[in-house]
Amino acid sequence: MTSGTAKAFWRKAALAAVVAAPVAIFVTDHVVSLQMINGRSMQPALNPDSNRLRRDVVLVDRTVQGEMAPGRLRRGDIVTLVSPFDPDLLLVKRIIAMPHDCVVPLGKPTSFVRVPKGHCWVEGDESFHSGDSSSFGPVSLALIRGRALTPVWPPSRFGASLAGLPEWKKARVYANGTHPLTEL
Amino acid sequence: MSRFAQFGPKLRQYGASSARMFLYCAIPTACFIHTVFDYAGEITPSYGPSMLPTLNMAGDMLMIERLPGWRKRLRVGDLVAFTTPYDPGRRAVKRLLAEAGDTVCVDPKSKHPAFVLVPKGHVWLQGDNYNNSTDSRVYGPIPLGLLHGRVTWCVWPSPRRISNGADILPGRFSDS
Repeated sequence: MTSGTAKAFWRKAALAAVVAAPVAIFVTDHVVSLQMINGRSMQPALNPDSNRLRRDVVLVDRTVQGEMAPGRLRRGDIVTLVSPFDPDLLLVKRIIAMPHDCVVPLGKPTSFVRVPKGHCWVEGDESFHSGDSSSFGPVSLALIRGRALTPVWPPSRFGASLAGLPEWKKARVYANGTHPLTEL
Repeated sequence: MSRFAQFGPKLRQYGASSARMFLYCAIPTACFIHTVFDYAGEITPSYGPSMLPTLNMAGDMLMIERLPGWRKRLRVGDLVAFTTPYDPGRRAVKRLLAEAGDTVCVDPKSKHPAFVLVPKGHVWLQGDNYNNSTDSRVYGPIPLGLLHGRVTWCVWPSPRRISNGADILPGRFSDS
């Protein structure tokens, strides 16, 4: 390869990078991205292996942010959201209740919480190792940054289903404050 | 500049179709502009009576700054843009009245004033027009994660810098 063609090659590669970088940033911010999961708050759906070095990487749908959130999210979806107490911390939790639902908080079986407009109730699947709505209350849907679709790493976990609200949690949620989810 | 101007015709010379031209020129350009908006700042219109007399009812174009580290540069008295917690599709501009750890009197004029301690990672926002503003007095403290950026300039119709208004806030106690 002569130096002229090498120069042309690098120039082309640099141009391709300049053109591709903003597209890549846009896609990972607003379309789809990958997220590594830390901690055991979502066991057994995510990080089923308790070895801390074997962490799941999940594919995240980023089109559920902002004004899209109320229409595109459902009870039972696993979402990534900004911690209400630390803007630099991203939490991964499951949505238990959507706006206008009633929830019986964990550990307070005689009380009710009405989830306000534009808010949701999120809990980790391993509720006893999880800082979630049981401790900080309903969170705004505007804090949600994405919806987990499926694990992509380790490869053996590719395509594993993340769906499902445990039955004992369904019994604690009243859709629109009237009917328990177990009856719907 | 001339090299960029030749970029399109050159592609066509290589036999690129219109669809491919769109793919290579328009989409990266749009994404580039969007990325600058997301990571540096943007210019957006603002409406509503809640920030009178600092901002007009309608027609003001605001410069919202969000360069890296903007959250750490926030001070009490700054104007900030945020998403309203009760409607994820709505954005608003208010003044930052208190930071985490401060205690706020919700309505000093009421007979039994309520006091709120602003929790960690939250701020207290209020409009300058206290009589016609839906703000932290309704929403409660706002998580920092809902904030978009700091309003630095009103660029249109009368360009002016939006300064920190801590000096005009009535009755601020530094220690509660």
